[in-house]
Amino acid sequence: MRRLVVLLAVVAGLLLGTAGPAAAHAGGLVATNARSQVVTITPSVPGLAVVAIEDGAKLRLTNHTGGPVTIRGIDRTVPAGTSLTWADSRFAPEGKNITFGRTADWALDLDAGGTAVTVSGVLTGERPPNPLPWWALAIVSAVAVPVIARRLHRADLLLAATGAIAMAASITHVLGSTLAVESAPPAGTFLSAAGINLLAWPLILGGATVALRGRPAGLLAVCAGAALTAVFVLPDVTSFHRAVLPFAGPPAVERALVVLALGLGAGVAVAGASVLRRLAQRAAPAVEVPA
Amino acid sequence: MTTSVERPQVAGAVTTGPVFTARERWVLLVASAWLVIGLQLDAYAHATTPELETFWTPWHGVLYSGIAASGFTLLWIMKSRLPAIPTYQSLLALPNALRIPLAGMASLLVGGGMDTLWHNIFGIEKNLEIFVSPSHELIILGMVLVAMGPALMTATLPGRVLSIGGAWLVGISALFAVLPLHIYSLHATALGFYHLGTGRAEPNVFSVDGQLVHGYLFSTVLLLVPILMIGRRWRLPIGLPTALVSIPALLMHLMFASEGPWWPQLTVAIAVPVVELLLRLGNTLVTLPVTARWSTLGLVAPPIVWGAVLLVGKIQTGTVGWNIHIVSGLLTLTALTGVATVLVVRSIQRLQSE
Repeated sequence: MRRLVVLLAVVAGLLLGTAGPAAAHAGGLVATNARSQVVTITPSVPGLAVVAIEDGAKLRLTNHTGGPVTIRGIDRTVPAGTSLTWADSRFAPEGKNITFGRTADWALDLDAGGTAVTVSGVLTGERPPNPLPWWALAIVSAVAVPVIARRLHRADLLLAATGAIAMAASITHVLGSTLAVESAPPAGTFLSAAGINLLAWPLILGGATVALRGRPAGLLAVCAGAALTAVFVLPDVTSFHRAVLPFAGPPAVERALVVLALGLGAGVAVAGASVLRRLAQRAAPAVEVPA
Repeated sequence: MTTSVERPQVAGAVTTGPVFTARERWVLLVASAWLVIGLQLDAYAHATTPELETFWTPWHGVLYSGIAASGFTLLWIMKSRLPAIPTYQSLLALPNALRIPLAGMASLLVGGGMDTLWHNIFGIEKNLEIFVSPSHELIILGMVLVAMGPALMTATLPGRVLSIGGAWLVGISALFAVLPLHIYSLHATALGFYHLGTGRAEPNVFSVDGQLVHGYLFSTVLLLVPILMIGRRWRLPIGLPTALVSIPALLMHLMFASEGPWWPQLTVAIAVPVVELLLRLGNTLVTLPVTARWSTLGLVAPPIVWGAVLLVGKIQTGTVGWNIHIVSGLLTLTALTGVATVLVVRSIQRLQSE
């Protein structure tokens, strides 16, 4: 119990200075249905490079031209020898409705030491997945946990294990989201992406440990953590519907992780009601036994 | 040796007149104050700092750490009040003073999760409409319910008279519970903005003038409810009604109208203690049944306070922007709204213990 308190205190400390429920995806990236890339820089200026990163959500301009480069439209100047990474609605895929197989051109104007430069790019529509199987899997997972729990004598072990799987899925999902970000330091990005999960994960881990040590009260913490895991992976159900995901790995893996965190998290939270009630009922007669 | 089940009777464990320690009440007050001040700071930052796009702001830091502080405080208070094997039933059977803030915490967290989904699908709002998205409604509701906790915990103590410390605690708790609602109802408030008529010769009911009139009525209800709720449970400490009106008025000015003139909110802040003094003196001179006393407050206080605002507005600007029909009708409506609010709130039955 003391360790759990210490763990909670550490988590509280982390929460004090870091993220919260309104944190967007890691680095502000969201799932979209298109990728953006730079095609040409006209005229070519020695030392000037502009590349699209994070599937085109941001551009990175590197200036080794020897003079300042000004980005028109946002009025930002990049001094010589430095680089700038920025997001801009002119080229970012977010909010653009480009159907699969279609493209849309975009252009930015720069001023490189008095020379007018045009950066041209293209947004390419990607094929979105069929969301139904992913939703079906999430629902089946959520229903399966309480159904199986009803048939097991040691349903508390099932909940502890399933909660731990949901937690592992959630951690992997957050790690994958963090690694997809090139434009921000990983530690801060991870904390921002984790958000309230920094509370949910220790609840599951601590609760499961306590429960496995023979104190079933820990199960309530597992259920609370699992419920939080399900709630805070909800923003990422957009991955069932969109093609380009902010995740460092195959999109199917990201969708599977969301299914596990959402489905199993919700399933454990729901199953907790009957499992805890049965545990309390079983333990109740023990009070009448003389000590 | 004791068994692991120390308190198996869930209902019995929580329905025997729960009394919270002063430490528990004050710690929850500090935590909920932290949470609501975080909201106020964040609202102020968004209202005054252009292009505040990043998540990494000190104001978000205060807000989100306030959520964590409130959550851990509730866990700490709950821990000794749950059986050795807590169930969902035993959580639901907690006293209202804990159950309501706990529901608030759940609303806050679910609202937070929904909020990010909302932003991912529809984008991030940057205007006044942020006040109206469903996820923000859940977040505001959560804050209100958490902030009510210390007052509800104090209400579990016996007696009709609040100690000085109790009055402070209940007053601050009520203020923090109602402030998010004042902020959230910026579209219908007489406190946040310069609130005189548009000056049209023939004001149309379905117009900006109409909306301004509704601001007076909604603010009347919102300012009266905490006073009435506290007055139902305890004798109202001297100065508490004044604080519950003046402080929100001044804070709303600071947050949303700091560029504008001070006189509207300052007039409210000065008029309210005068009205409180008059009503208290009146109560000593004229003996009325309790319902009549409260109805008098509802009938008299709103038109005096809002009438003072219109009068000072006339002196300051030369016009109230409305003709005599609107002004007299508005003051009559505030009086009727006041007395109706009194009758409704005073008629709410106290929940009996199960």
